[in-house]
Amino acid sequence: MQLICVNKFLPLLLVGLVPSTKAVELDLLYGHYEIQTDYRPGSGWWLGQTYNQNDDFNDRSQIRRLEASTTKIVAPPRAITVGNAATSFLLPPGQPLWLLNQGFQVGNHFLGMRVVIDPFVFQTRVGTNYTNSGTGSVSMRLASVTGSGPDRSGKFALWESDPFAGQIVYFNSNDGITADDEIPTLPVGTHSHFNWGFTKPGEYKISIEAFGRLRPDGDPTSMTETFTFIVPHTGRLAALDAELCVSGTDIALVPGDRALGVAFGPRRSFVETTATTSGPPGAAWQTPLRLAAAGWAVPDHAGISAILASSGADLGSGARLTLRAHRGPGHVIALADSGAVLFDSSDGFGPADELDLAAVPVTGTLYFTEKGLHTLEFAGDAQTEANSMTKDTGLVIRCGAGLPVTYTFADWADSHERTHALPPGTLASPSGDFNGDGRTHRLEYLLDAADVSPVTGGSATRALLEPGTGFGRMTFLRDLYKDPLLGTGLQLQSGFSGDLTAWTYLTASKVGFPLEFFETGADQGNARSLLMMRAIRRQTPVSGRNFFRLRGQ
Amino acid sequence: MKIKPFLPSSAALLLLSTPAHAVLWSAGHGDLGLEGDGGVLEFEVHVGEDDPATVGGLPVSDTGYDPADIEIAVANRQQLVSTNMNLLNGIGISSGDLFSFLPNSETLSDSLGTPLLGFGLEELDSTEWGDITFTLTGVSGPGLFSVYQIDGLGDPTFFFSTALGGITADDFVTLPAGIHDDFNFAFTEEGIYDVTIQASGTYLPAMGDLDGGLRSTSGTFTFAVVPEPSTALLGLFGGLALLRRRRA
Repeated sequence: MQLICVNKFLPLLLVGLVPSTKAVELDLLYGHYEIQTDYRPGSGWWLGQTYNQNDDFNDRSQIRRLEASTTKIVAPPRAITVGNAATSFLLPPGQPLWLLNQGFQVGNHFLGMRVVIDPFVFQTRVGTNYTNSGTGSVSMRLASVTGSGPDRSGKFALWESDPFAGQIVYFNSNDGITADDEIPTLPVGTHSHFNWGFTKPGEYKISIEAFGRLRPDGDPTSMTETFTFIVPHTGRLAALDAELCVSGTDIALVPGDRALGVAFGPRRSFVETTATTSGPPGAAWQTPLRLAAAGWAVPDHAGISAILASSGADLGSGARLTLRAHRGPGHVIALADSGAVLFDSSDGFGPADELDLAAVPVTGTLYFTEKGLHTLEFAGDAQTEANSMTKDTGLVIRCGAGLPVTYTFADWADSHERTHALPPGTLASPSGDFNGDGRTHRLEYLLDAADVSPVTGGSATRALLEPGTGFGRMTFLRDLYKDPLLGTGLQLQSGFSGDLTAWTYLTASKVGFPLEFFETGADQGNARSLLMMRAIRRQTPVSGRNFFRLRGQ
Repeated sequence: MKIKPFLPSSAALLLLSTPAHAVLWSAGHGDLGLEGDGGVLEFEVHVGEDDPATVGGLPVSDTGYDPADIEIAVANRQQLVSTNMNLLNGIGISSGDLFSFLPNSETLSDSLGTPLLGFGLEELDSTEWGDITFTLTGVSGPGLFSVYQIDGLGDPTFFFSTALGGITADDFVTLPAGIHDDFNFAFTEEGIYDVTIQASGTYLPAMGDLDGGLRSTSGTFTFAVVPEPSTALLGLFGGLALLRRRRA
């Protein structure tokens, strides 16, 4: 059932529901959150992510708790940096480092550790001694770091920057995990910020043990909780290496990076090219091509379910892929290693462009005749044991011929002008609206990864009611190369309204509140790309009207 | 005859005509905080939100003070030996020099026995206020004053620094409403510093007004940069209210 974002017929029953605080899967991409440790005599420990509805730490009723098992902390573009001599305890200088900074930075995580425990419940630890003096303290120990990030040699550390520009390192998986990987004394009622660092893309399941000794006798007590952090992949591909995959009623053309070990969902990746030195007549840009139907055996699935990405379409009864459309300037030609033409857009689209992916992969080279942004649209057809299905549209691969994924607004305008034979400069104004669809060129550029064309239009959003939560949401593809959430330059802002007049927009500085109004992730899989599906969500107001929109600033 | 302790009327008048007496905040967490009720920005020094802070020698929880009524003790003076020229130049010292500072980490401020000081915008409703910019507009004191953070890579960012060209247009820090963040506050010489800061931002409900909803306020914060106090000195600062003449 296609649900719409405005539902005048929303039953009062749903309106009155208290939204679940446990079931919602949330991606936290930036903003002020805590790793919080609670302990109450009688109920024991609770560890999870939290935030404050009003940032008033004195008011415990304003603390909103998120379950660690359903909450992922995703590193934003602001976190991307390079290690130096100061961080050599974690990685060699000059290597990529994802840093959630101790001090506040717009567009980054501002992630603290908070202990919400009454005084005089725990003993106070000083060094290795525990006493019944002071108000009490707990310790936090790094128990383990697992997941696809560590599996590809990714390391994790947590440290404090001191006023002398030195580093006080508490957790560090780079030198092994031992009893030394601890924050020995976090006073009850405390709140501290730290630097969190990661060295490779992937998923990091970080298990932290909170422990202490209770008054008056020093009885030890502890709890371990596992927090999921994700360092996104770039989504940049140096080849078009894709598997046709089928699972149930889903069929997908899934590109990936074999060496890196990641498969991408639709539009979560961007194929980049090199200049052609020798190729068919007119070829100017090229990329290696490999198409098959075996499914992926990789640890990371970014924006696609593991089941679908690993289920090849070829189950013995054939798998076919046909190029049905090319959107971009010039033409696209694919040649097999043998030199045979696999498909060629210059002669139109038809049965001759069909590829049989059964038995052996198709390998060769993909050529573009013109610099620009290219969308290749395929139909996939696979006969599974249970049924056969075809998807005529939607198996999409995006490529940049002579353009990296960081292409500018000017690159975008030029490419679309040549694609549609428009006079140069037609699309040059960011505030212009050539096709009069109400979206500026600026917004269309920000949504280019979603195939929103300044000439032919296209839908970039989908709105629906979340079952059982009383929330509405609108999903859309966020290209973090075009808006890295720094609060400057071009920005893609999601917003909501109850009356189509007064709009509230989320920005790099206005994060919202995860359980109230918020932009969360909407990607399947254990990994993410910098091209990621997002959802702005908000509880449906009493009026039943919940409007969402995107704007380009 | 028992002499009742009393102040002659002239002395009482003297007391009444000396408006400013400030208490000394010597340990615990607090902020240079902003309130924004009804779109009016106002500074206050807010202490003891998480754990009690020590003010006037006594534990104080969750209390706001007018900036004129509280002084911030900086009783931590250490030598900085470093090759980080950005850090040294921003503070205004050479390697091997002593400087006084409030560290921006809870563990260090606890162990050194100093206040932990930040900028606090938690009282501002983040749906009503745009980003707030704190601008350094005046420093009077015996030495150089700076406010900085060190990022995870060990690189300092100086938000305020009179060592870097005096007070310039670069002496500002911008934070979103609702946020609170702690900073290192550094002083090169001991003594009393009066630091004047202007806070300005847009009150969103008034954006349609002629002034665009821009609001601002100014506050002068006093730092008492003292040597490590002896017990006797602690008694003097901690137990008694300080009588100070308010400067015009």
